[in-house]
Amino acid sequence: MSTFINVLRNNYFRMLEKKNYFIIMLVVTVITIMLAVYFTAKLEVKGNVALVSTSQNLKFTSSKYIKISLLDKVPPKSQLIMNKYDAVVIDEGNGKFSIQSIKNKDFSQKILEAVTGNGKLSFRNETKRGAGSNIIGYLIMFIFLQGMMYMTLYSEDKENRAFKRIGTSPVSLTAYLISHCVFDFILSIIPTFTVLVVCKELFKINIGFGYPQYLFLLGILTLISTAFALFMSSIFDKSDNYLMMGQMIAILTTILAGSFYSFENNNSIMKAIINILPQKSYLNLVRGLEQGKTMVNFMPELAYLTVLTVMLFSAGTIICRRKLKHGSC
Amino acid sequence: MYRFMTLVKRDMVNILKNPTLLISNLVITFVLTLILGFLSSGNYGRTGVDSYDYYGITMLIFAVLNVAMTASNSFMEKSLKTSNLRVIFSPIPKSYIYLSKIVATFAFTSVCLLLNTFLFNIVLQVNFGGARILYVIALLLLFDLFSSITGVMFCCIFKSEELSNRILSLVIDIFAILGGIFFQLDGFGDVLRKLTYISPVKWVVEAVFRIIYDNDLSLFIQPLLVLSVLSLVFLGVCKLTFKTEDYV
Amino acid sequence: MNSIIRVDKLEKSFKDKKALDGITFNVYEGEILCFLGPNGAGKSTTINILTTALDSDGGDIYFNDRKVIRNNREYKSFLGIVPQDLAIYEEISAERNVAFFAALYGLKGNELKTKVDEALKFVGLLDKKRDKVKTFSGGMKRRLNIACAIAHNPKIIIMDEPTVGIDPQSRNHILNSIKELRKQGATIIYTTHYMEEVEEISTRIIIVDNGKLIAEGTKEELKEKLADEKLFTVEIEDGKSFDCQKLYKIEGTKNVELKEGLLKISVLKGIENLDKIIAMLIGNAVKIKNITSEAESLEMVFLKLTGRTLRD
Ligand SMILES: Nc1ncnc2c1ncn2[C@@H]1O[C@H](COP(=O)(O)OP(=O)(O)OP(=O)(O)O)[C@@H](O)[C@H]1O
Ligand SMILES: [Mg+2]
Repeated sequence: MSTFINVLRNNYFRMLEKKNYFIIMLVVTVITIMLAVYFTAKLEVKGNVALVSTSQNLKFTSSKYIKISLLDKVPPKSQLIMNKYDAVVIDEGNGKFSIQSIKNKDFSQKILEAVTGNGKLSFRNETKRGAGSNIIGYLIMFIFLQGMMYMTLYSEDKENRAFKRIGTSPVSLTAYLISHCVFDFILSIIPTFTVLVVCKELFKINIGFGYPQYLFLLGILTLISTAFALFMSSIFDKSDNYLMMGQMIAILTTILAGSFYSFENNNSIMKAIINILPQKSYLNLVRGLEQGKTMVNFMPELAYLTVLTVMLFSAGTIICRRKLKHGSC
Repeated sequence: MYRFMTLVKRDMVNILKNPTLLISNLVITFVLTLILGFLSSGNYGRTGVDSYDYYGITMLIFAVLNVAMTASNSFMEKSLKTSNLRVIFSPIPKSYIYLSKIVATFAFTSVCLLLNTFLFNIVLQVNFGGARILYVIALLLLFDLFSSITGVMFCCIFKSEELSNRILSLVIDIFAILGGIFFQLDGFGDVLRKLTYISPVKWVVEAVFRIIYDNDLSLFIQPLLVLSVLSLVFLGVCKLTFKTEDYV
Repeated sequence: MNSIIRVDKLEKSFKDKKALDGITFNVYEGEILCFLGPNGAGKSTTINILTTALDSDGGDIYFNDRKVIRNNREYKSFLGIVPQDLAIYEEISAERNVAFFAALYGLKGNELKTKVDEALKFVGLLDKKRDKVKTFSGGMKRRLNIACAIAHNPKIIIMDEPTVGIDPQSRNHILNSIKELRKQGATIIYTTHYMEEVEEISTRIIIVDNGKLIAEGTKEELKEKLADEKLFTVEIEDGKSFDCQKLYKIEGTKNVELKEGLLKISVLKGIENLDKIIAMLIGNAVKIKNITSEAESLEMVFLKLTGRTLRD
């Protein structure tokens, strides 16, 4: 217990010296939540089709799934590459249309059918996310980055040999690591939650979930990010390397899991890979809860996340213990 | 000049002796491109443009963005800082100290950039627009220089590699996402599209794609100018914020 | 003697903390000038201003009677600086380290090579010149730290605690090197916390405290100043109830200090009052475990001037 308090207090004083990190993270959290709230209202999850036609009597209107922009010139190809348009449909006169798209054939066909009115288009089957899912979805990455940032205190311990001292003292290593994790957890979750409360109470912003639900959901997320940070920082001996690799992995997996936008398509390998990502299970859970499902529906996801967290934490501890024994940190 | 080159040589060796910097500049870009390209290949049809054509370009730009971290590492990495700054006692202009870091980082990373470009072109068949590749490379090299200066400037401002890199990495990640490095954002409506232009990465991405796919050089000069001006401004900031008394 | 550097009324504050408070002194050609002072006295600050790396708030420095302008490169090229912290590259060889710093002073080609070898030989690392610094011991690193400052044959060598935290053998080596450097014509400015070092190598001493110069002179001159006093150190037990102020009643007692069972009494020389002191202690039921009497040492000079011991 005294180790625990000692490490926490020590970390607290060290963080005071690094207020900058804390402030920056807080600012980013605020911006993220604002963006998420804003985009919940504004973001258009539609297909974008450019219709190139000189005739005035074409009457295609944008629908729920598709936004048609009428142009009189074929847009540059780079706009297709950058996805401003999913496809360009060119009216060749007398009822014939040709299509330009860099997407797969299936997709092009569907668009053509939709534009010419012979089919229903529902290619982006993702339903629009609510405020809660959007906020949490956007926060995932920053919670991960934050968790890693604060775990650098442990990483720095290893670097500046304060760690050796811990290894040779009668303090339990597990207690020491848990204290770092607790510190990391608290420092990640409290500011985030506070920002949410302020948003709701002071600015009357609709944040989707209620407070208990937020605490629960953010709690799960922060636990994983903490365990991940511990795991990564145990693997790497230098805090620079740890941060670089950790951030790379966190960003990549978070993006792939679809926390900003869904990467999913019909590629089965891709699907399989995405489904392993904890962020994916987590997002499923969040979305489900927002749609009014209950926790019972998400037992597999919850179990998976718990197991993963425990595994990451144990692996981190074991690696750390090994390294200490072999004197490599 | 001899003294300046002595410094540059030293800084160059320091970078080459750092495995993290070597890996992040030489290997990671390629691996990331492979992963993202492979995973999103299903989205693309066989119409001459595939996922590698997208990620090949954006990941190169991402690599160039990350050069800022290499620069700040070469300047104030823990094991280098005291020795790098001992130089302030010797009879050289103090600007040599940060200029040599910029030159060394730029030289090293531009070689990496060219290597990666070559590799992408040969192995992944990424489309660089044929002969227009020269414009693409010119733009990326200038961006590379800008990144090197930015990294060094952050060090001058924050006086530690730790702090500057942690801030830099956040800024880079946000700019990268906005710039469409990982996935295209233009399809999400006009509001978001306009917002993405606050990220300089977006200008470069757009300029490069326009050069490659539209043979349109109108966006070539603009980023070139903006980056040049910003580079000069940032150099000025280095000059103003690098004070020897902060390091004794 | 020729004054090579003249420091005139230097002032320096960090925020509201006054680090230097109008310090004035001369450095003469060919001397080994030792800077003595307790922690935070302003030694490093003075030295950093001397190197022009740090700007002063007021006051001037003259080199050969010419005012030194900030970052003046000609002036800097006459200096060799050994910083308080190790400042060498771990990943490369000793030779490369010295060559790098020497090259910044314009040495090149064969001249650079010979000078680097000379410097390494000087600190006794010539046989290790190809080894990477990270394989060096602490003392060897300290020596290399010095070599990096002397390869370009500086006229003035400034060392900020070059012997901190090393073994006696390396220290002797360094001290001998410093004497040797002086023989070769260099002027040396040196800060340290070790009185033994000052006794051994200094030709002149400056004592600073709270950013002020409080004494200067050769060690003999400084001791002379205190020649009229003598210090008794009495190790006592059960002294808690004893009021040491009583000792002032004894004739010749100048100063009394009790700290952690050590009673330090300075008395005027020539007045034999040790018997009276002992009598008083015994009379007050103080148990005496040991008594030493010190002739005047630099440590005492220091204690008297600053009221502090050097390493407290
Ligand atoms: N960068 C700084 N910022 C604030 N205060 C400083 C700074 N550098 C020195 N000081 C203060 O100035 C005073 C003089 O410091 P200086 O380093 O010159 O002492 P010193 O005599 O070299 O001590 P030491 O024997 O411990 O090396 C001290 O009170 C110190 O706290
Ligand atoms: Mg000092």
